[in-house]
Amino acid sequence: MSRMPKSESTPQRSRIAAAKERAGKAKTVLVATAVIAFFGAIAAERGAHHSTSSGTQPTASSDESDDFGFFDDGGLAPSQGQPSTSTHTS
Amino acid sequence: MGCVVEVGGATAGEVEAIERIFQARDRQFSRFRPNSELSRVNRAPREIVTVSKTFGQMVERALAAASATGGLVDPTLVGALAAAGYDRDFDELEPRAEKARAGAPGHWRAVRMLGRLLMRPVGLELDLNGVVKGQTVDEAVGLLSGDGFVAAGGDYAGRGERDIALPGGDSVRVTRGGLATSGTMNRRWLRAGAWQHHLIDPRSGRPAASPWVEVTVSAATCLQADVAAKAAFLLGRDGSNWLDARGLAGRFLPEEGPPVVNDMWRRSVSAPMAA
Repeated sequence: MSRMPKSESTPQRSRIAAAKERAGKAKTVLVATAVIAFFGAIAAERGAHHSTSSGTQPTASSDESDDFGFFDDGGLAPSQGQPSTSTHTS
Repeated sequence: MGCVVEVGGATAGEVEAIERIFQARDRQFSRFRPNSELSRVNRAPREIVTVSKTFGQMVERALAAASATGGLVDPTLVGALAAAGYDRDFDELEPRAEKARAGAPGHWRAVRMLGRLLMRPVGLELDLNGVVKGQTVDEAVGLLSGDGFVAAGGDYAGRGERDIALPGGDSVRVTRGGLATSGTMNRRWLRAGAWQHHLIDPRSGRPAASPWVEVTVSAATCLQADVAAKAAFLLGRDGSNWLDARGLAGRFLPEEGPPVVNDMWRRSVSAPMAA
């Protein structure tokens, strides 16, 4: 059974270690960014919540609202027989 | 959830599974159960609360609904509901002499979800009932192995085509997706001799004044239909155009007189049958 000489495996391990270190740093940066963004949002919302006693006013009209992707049409047709159930008020 | 659940076309096992999911959602999201997750979250004295995955998903849906309706369908109106007198389970509400008050307007933009972390100002309570009901009806239909339907408190979703009776008479065939009705016909109560209802206008913090008593909407899912029906009710006479702009069919029942339908409803229901 042959073995890899130490002199050949060490640089490879070093490269792997370096890559792991870079990945770890990137992950730390990402987590830190998310935490900063989250607490930034908290601070911003806290300020907004305390500074406006009237709250956030709805803006809905025919053209104003961010409903992209939320609504999709259903399917209706004329009734053809006795109803199976009803849509009562909720 | 304070409503009757009707199931059609399900096997006995599917009925049991559907019953279990509704019971579980009621235990988790009732604001009148002190030990529900919702009640625990609403009582939490911290701005950031860790919530279950299901709870977080419901909050995200509620925020998406608020965004899609420009804030009309707002999950933060618990204070306004209580100020109007809806401070206990609906079956326990009785006429009272004291006047209803205006509550705080909606603050849905103050609520954030990050993974399973919920962030909101301490004291800002959530009411997710509408979103939970619509979503649970959609999920319950997903449990059916064949054609059938689930209906709960005005919300309908089904597999296969089915005729559904509408408020005020008449019926319609639902060929795809969900159908939901929001209104004030049933869920209302008296305060100082004045009727109050659960559809709060987030702009005023009071039960909305609307020319409609019932609004029915068809959409791809029951949740979407429920959210759109509430928004259209709150928009009053602008509700018809609002629905048309989103390609949704709507039917509006006034206090007196025949129902009014928008263009999308008219086109769908008067469309000639395929040969």
